Amino acid sequence: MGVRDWLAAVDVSGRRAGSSSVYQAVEKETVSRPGLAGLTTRAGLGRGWGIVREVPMLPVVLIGAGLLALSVDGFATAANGQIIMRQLAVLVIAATGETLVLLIAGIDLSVGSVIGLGSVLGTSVILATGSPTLGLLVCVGTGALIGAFNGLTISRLGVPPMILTLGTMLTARATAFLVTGGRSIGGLPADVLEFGRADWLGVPTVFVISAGAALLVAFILNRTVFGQSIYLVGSNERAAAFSGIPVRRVKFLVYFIGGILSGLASFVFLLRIGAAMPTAGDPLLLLVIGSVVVGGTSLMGGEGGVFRTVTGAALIMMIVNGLSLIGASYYVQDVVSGVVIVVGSALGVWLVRARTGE
Amino acid sequence: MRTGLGRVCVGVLMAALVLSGCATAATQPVAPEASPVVEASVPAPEEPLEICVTFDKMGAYREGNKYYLDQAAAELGVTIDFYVADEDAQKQSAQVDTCIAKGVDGIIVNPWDIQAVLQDIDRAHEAGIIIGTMGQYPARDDTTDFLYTANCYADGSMLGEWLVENAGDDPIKLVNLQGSLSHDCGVLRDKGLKEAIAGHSNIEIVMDCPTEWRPEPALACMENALQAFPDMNAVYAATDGLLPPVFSALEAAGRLKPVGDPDHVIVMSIDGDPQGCAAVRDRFMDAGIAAGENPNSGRQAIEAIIKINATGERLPDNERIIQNEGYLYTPDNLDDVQDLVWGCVIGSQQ
Repeated sequence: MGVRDWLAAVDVSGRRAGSSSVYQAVEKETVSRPGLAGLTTRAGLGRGWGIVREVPMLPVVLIGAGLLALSVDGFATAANGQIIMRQLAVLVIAATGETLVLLIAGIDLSVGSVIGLGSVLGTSVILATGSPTLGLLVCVGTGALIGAFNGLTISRLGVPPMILTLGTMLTARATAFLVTGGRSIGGLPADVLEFGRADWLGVPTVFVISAGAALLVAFILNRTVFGQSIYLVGSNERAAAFSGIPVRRVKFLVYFIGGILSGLASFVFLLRIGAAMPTAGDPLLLLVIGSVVVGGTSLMGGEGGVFRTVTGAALIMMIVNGLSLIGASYYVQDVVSGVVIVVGSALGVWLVRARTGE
Repeated sequence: MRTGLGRVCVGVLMAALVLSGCATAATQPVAPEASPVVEASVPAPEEPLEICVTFDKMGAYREGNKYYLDQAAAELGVTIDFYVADEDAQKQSAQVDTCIAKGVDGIIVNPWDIQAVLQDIDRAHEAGIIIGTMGQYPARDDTTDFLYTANCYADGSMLGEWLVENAGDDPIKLVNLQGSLSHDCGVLRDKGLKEAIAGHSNIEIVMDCPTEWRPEPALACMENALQAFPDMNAVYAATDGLLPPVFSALEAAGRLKPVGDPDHVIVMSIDGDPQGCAAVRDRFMDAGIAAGENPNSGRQAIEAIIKINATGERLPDNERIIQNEGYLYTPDNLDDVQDLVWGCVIGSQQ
């Protein structure tokens, strides 16, 4: 059965002809996770509470932003808003891909290295050809290739994701070092640098790209059969398989899309920084996983979403930015970020338990 | 459940805000005592200046860097907004953007990435803000308003010359613990050492080990070297941070002997941080180079901003770019030169 046939056979709620008793459990899982689409049918306070349940960090982000605006000079300015958005651009794209992977109870440790390798190869191609479009294709292609390898190996051979992606992380990073001799690459054409610095109606272009990618993935997750099947595979892989969902294919596609998003993030990185380096993604891995988990996506799979991840990333960046503006020391900033990640992760676990009644 | 959710959300926020409050209190600058290394060459500005500083990372060397920077700022009446990029080019770029948005009088960047900093320099200049670098050369040095670094080649060369002079005709089998070979200073220190000993056939490098400035590869290299070359009798460490694994491996092999002992293994290192100073003082290290960057570069950078701010003119190249040579210190001259060894100065105050 091809993907099209399969998509045609399964409707948005995951219902499939000839449902079994096992399928009933899967259906129950689906119904209990309404997604943002489900929220549109609710009204008044119920809708508001539903949004909080689906994006639990949203009120924290909003209240935090308000308090920081009142208490920190220079926080609530347009310039600072742009700084935060630029900081979020690469992180949100990469974390969106990681969200998909965590939703199927997987993990992708190679995301940072793919960003490093993609940015190095993309920049090399732009320098050689003068074409940013080719650079974009190489960045995305690099991510897609590594994502496909990860996906195939994990879904077909059953290699544990942590081990496999640790291997691809090391390989991609070392390849980037080999390509560049360990040095960073710069000298991008002026139009590429200008595009990376430009704004669109006051919103940095790099953030526009990032927001577009996140919205597209959120749409796929919340509005398509494929998106629902990701949740089902993450919730109960065996039950999903019994209900006819091609688990291996879903896993492959998740890692593949995650790789594409990492590749896109590498392109946005080179736009934003105006240079590429093998170590580009080194600091990003923990931030990416931190953003996803703080937002409320479960490490155990089946629970979470892109909007949660965006709020997780926004919370971390806002706090780091606020602490910088008030002159907090580097060490204290790390302590605060660590506390936020710990408490945010606790919230994520608590939410899963509350929902499943454990 | 509703109450629980609220509690957790409020908990996240409260934890952040409470710690933010601690942060403000924890970062009040403490002016260190004056150092005899350099004297102020410009008067303090009439209007107090606000200067942003962003470091690539923190560690013993950068702590020393910051110590003298704070000292110069206190003496010159300058306010410092201090940031650390944590080895992240994106974070450093955002910190420069924050400084630009604050409209500071000048920005000092200790760049994590030598290409990315070029964009930071361009953006600051577009905003009319003075910006310069210290610690590491940017990929191009024509746009930066100033550039003050260590003279890494000279530092490596000085140690090589010291070894040539003190080895005489004795056979030397040297283990070379290099820094990072993707880092200019690591390459230049290595080059300086090798060119200084070139042509002296009694000195042989038996093993080159790139360590990325990290102790773990240094320890592995030392253990391998001691196994493969039991007659090795000298070690060069590109940074004082590699001294603990050197001493650890020598001790495990029963070869850690003080200077003067017939079985002593010659140990040399660069930086002059507190552990380098202590190793020379305790006579386990034969020669060190105290980096001239630490006591000088921060002050030079602040003075450059004051000058450019006052005159509105670009500095002449001989003032705009300065490579600070280090100071050789050994167990025999330490008492005389310890005020030049930044690690001894800081160590004595801790």
